[in-house]
Amino acid sequence: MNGLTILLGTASAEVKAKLSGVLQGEGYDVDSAGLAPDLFARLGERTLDLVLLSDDLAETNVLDLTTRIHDLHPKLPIVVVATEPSVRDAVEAIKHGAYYYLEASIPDSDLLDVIAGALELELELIEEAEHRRARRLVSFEDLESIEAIDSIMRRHDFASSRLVGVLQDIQKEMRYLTHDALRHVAGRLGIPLPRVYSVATFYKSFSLKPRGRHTVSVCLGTACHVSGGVGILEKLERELGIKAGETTFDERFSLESVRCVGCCGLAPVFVVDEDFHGKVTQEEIASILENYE
Amino acid sequence: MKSPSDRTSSRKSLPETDVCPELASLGFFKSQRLLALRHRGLLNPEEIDEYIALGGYAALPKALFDMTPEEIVDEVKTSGLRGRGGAGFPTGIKWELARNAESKSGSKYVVCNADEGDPGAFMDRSLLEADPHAVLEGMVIGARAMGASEGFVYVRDEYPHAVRMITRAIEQAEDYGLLGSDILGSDFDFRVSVVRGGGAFVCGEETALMASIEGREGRPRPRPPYPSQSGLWGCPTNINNVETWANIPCIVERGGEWYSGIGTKESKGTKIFSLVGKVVNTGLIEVPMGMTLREIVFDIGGGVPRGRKFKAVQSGGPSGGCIPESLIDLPVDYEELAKAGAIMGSGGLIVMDEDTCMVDLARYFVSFLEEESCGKCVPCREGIKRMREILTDIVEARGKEGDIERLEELAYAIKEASLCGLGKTAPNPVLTTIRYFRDEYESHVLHKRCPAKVCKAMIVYRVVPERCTGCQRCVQVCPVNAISGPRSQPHNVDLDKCIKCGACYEICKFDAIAGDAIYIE
Ligand SMILES: Cc1cc2nc3c(=O)[nH]c(=O)nc-3n(C[C@H](O)[C@H](O)[C@H](O)COP(=O)(O)O)c2cc1C
Ligand code: SF4
Ligand code: SF4
Ligand code: SF4
Ligand code: FES
Repeated sequence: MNGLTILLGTASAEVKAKLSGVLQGEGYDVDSAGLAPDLFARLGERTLDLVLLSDDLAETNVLDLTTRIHDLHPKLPIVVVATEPSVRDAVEAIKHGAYYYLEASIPDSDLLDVIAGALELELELIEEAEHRRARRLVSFEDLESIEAIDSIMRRHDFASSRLVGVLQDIQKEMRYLTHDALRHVAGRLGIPLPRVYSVATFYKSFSLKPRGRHTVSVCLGTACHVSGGVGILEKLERELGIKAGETTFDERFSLESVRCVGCCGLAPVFVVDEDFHGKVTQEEIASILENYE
Repeated sequence: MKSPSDRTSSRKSLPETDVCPELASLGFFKSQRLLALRHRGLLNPEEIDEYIALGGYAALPKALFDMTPEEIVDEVKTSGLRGRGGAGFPTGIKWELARNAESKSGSKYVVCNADEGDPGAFMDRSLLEADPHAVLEGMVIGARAMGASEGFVYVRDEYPHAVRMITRAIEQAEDYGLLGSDILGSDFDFRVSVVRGGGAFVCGEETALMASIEGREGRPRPRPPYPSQSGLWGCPTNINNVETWANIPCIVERGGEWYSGIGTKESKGTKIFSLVGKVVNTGLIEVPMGMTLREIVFDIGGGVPRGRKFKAVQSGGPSGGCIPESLIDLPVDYEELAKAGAIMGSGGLIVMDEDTCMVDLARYFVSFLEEESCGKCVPCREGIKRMREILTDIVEARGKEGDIERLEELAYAIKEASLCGLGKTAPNPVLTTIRYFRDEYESHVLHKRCPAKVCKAMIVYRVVPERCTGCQRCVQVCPVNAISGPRSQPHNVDLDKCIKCGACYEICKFDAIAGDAIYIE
């Protein structure tokens, strides 16, 4: 049991058996009701974490039901399962307050993902995944790095609202964010570790993987896209033997694509560290890269 | 076919006596009107004295000593200034809401939005780098008008130089008593700090931006409450774009009446556009609202280079739309652009020629937005993904009959049911390209042909034996050795090896002795 209760609204014994099985298998407590009045009675009686509504309830329109539940309990996530799905209904359901609109035929694992998402269980999942990944990376324990991180946080007055800035500065100094660094920051700023992880994974400029000494960023903004930016990226991928998002084996270069670096007049553009190279042709690339050791 | 060197000869030649022509006499500058960019290139942004010498910080004492806060708000209302960050909401009205809002803790905030996420637009970066004090002065005046005591400039982390310039400007203004406590002896206190964004497009949206300033992940939340009611840390907050702020000193100094004399009925003043893409003169331009696209692209921009044919202009970034050649005489203001299915957005104008594939462009924007969707609501997250899958199928020659209609249906769902502006406007680039270039979509779907010869799955590179001189330039650039042939004899492309990178086409077109011996079909 995971201590979370889901109320299932369906009139069909078959749907009920199938869904309860899947949910109970995952540790949820399941309660169910086949008629709207029963459903509302349950809503009044006990604390629930989520409502799963099938569109087969007799004499009740699932959209009206969604609206009524949502008005009564605005914070309670509602997931609608449609046996006869349509785009129009999906739009309406979401507008009426549903968190998600699913086709009854979707695989069980997807259903469980949606429910976990609705219950905001994702944070823990992220943490777990990152944890596993981080353990495989070189962990830095030496005091010097801890010292450096502390002095960065000091510059930001140890203010929890400066989390993004703190992580940016750590990344500038150490090229990427290690699990230890994040854990240390979480402890010092008094922020739960999952929140630090969700910030670190939300923003594009953070990397949780080791990075090269030089960062090559190819602009794929609109101006660069129409002026051949993709060709430049592909040429760099061939030249360095890696794909965008990867780092060369010798840790000399990390390659990434970015959206507009604000020199659109010079399209196509790519940037190495802080040097801008504008109006580049595929031919020039190899010789430009030679300047970076 | 014109050669690249014709670019210069097509410009008007100057009389020989004019050794150093006046800027204003050049086609590029003649019809521009510089207000926000008034100090462009004239001052060293690192020296506050230069800004002051050019008349800067003259509006501030006027606002502090000769005007009441209500009068400042009224002046901005009279000017008709509308937000330059995208939606074009009247700035004066927004200020009034923030001014009248109650704050439980007594604090109010102002924010300068310099997240500049639209790829292809760079006016905010340029303003912060070249004239940071104009933005700061606007913010101090606004803070005075609304009763705010603290301000933030939220800048993209991709703009390190802009961060340096605005940080330095803040320090200097503090030294001069133009920021901080008791500004110019007026008893008014106002402080500004710089916050760097983390590289997420959605953080430009105001509620996401505030979450980011508070140190959380930048996901939008439903409005109301609007920031003017409950913004940063629950206090009334006013957010304006960089360019909006930069216009304020001008308006206070010369009066709202004067400002409203420029532009069109509903859209007052000037707008900075970044004119980029397939156009001869690229760069930032500032023109009165209501100038036609034709004037912008052809008179100021000098038209399309290399003798190619003009096709469309994309305006408003990923939330915007494409305006086709048939609407080239459209006067550019908020209303007219919206009627054409596009938006003003932050002012990116990307010119496209016959070599741009509109379906590929639509897919480009949709995949941009797919990556940038914060994932909070389903229609945006799943709907955009589905659109991208369909568009990818179409450009990779797997399109099916009915795909265009499916795109339209999805577009409707995403527009209607998304929470924030990102999702609500995400289908625009798809809808406008379908509206104006449906034939191009049909050609991809039904005939598996890409008229612009962009989509790799539908093209092959070949050599015209009669034209090829065997100069071997193409052999040197081909990354996979797909081209061969004896020197001085016609060459041949091995289609099994060719990865369609286009390098040979480029080199043969512009650098080979014969030229144009490689073609795409
Ligand atoms: C997805 C999204 C991205 C946005 N990005 C920006 C941006 O980069 N810069 C900006 O000034 N406004 C942006 N906006 C608009 C802001 O939410 C807000 O309306 C604006 O900053 C208000 O300033 P203004 O009234 O001066 O235009 C964005 C809106 C959305 C929905
Ligand atoms: S519309 Fe998209 S970007 Fe906006 S809140 Fe929803 S998922 Fe996030
Ligand atoms: S560059 Fe053009 S002209 Fe020269 S060998 Fe290649 S195809 Fe022939
Ligand atoms: S398109 Fe690229 S891969 Fe193909 S022949 Fe030309 S240079 Fe070689
Ligand atoms: S689109 Fe590449 S720099 Fe702006």
